[in-house]
Amino acid sequence: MDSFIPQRPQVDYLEGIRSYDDVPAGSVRAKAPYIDNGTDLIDPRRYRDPAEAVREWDKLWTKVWNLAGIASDIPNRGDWFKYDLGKESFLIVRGDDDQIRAFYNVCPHRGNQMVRTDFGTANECFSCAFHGWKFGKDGSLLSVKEPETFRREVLDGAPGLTEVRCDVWGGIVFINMDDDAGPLLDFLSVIPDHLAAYRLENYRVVDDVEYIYDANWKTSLDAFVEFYHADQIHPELGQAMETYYCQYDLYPRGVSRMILPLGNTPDKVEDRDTPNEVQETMIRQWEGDPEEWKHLRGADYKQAMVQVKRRLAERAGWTHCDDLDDDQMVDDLNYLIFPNVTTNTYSDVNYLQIFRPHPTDPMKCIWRSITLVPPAKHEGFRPLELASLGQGNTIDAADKDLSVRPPTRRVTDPADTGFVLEQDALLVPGVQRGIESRAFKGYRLSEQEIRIRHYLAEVDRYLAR
Amino acid sequence: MTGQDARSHEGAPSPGGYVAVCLEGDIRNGQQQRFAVAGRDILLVGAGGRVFALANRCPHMAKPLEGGRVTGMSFTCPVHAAQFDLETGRSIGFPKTGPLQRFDVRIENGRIFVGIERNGPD
Repeated sequence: MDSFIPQRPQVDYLEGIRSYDDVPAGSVRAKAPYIDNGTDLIDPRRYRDPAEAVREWDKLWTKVWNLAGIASDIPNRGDWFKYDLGKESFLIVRGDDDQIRAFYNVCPHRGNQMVRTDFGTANECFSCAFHGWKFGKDGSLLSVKEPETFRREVLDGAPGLTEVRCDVWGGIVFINMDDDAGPLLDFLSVIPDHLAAYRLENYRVVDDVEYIYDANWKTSLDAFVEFYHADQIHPELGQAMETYYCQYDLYPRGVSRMILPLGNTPDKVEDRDTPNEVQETMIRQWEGDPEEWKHLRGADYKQAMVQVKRRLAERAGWTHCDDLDDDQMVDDLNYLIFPNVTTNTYSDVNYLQIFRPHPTDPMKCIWRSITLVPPAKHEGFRPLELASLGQGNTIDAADKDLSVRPPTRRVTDPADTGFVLEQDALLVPGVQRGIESRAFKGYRLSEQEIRIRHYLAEVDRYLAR
Repeated sequence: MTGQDARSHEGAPSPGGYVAVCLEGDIRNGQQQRFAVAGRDILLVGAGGRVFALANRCPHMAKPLEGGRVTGMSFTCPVHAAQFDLETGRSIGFPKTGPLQRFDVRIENGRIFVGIERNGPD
């Protein structure tokens, strides 16, 4: 029972753990008021009952705003991308009026999917590759091949592509299948305000990876909204990233946040005097020289990272950094965009993870990570591979000027997701297997894991529980 | 670029079959430009720090490729979204069709030469 003896003072759950002692009132980094979602076990049937997936499709996925892609991936008129969600597929296109619209990726003639590839450009129109029906970039039906062979009433109403709601925030494109849903900005709760200073609309995609997890989408997501697991699963990160004084904040509409302070050697590490290899690797990744910071204790090393990143921002021309305080320059702000997207937002990278239900198997999910960075004006900039944070990896973008959209890499080896992400990818399927055991009665959650309880409460509101 | 006339380069090919077409800096990553080269309709495409010379004719339904999309090292036709691997010319996915006709490219002294009698590298 020794493990039940706290090594630290009991946490007052109403106060929670705070990442900062000195946050000014009104700061976006301030601790949010507690939202009490109770202490019940989390019913494991949520994660293993196929009927739950049917309920979620009918009442959740078809009602919420879904992250479909990135606006800068379709910079020119006629550019489009495809977005798949469950059994549906969507075509998102920038029209001749520069507006971004979304349509079901379905030809109204015989149901063929209009596009099968991830990205493209339509010069004049979309032309179905099955029978050649043509549609404008606004979805309208332009022409039917050999129309004289149709009885007139079959073509009544000139059926075009079916439009779905589409909106953009922070350079991110969302779609919603529900005509009665509220506006996107309301749905995103505090996030647009909290992340405004990062000017995420300027970030560009440098990597895009998909991998199939053998786990329900919620089992997978749950491993990315808490850092309680970090000491066991990501021991390397714990040399330079806080794993205890992480701040967990809950907001309306299922949205939540955790702040992961970066830079100082955490107090769980034995040697807090000497800067460690992970810290020095990070300094090098941000184009700094660890020799310059040898005089600092590991426990005080964050100031080195702040200085190095400020210099990098100056060279790169990242003017948004002028509006970020020192903690924002370095720390990881992880938001949950309800229901299935996490951000790891930094001053130099935004790492989006999207957890989509598998179209046919509720015990699998499609994990996708999109890495975006602000374009740098100086030569030699190599974007940090956040999926391998602390390992010295950079993204070898084929096009350093970010002018060509990298392809979506669909990988089958978890090692190809990145050093840190592989650790998660190997973890999660075993959690799913355990959840499916008759022995498992349900999650028993700490106050470090309250984001799970919070978004599930919002899921329940959609499912009318 | 769509709808504009191709820039003409009707000069006789060198003995090696290579025709100087434009300056290296004219074709940056993600960009494309159409040229008439010794009677052929050629589309130069920049991708991955390299330049590819394609016959401006999709093997799917013979429509012009000009205006299509470069993603990574692939090119997607602007008409029916047939996709091709620029490095091999191979058709990827749907609609499935034959390979792109490509031509060898050499860059010398900052100029791009297209080998109109030579297929691109496999």
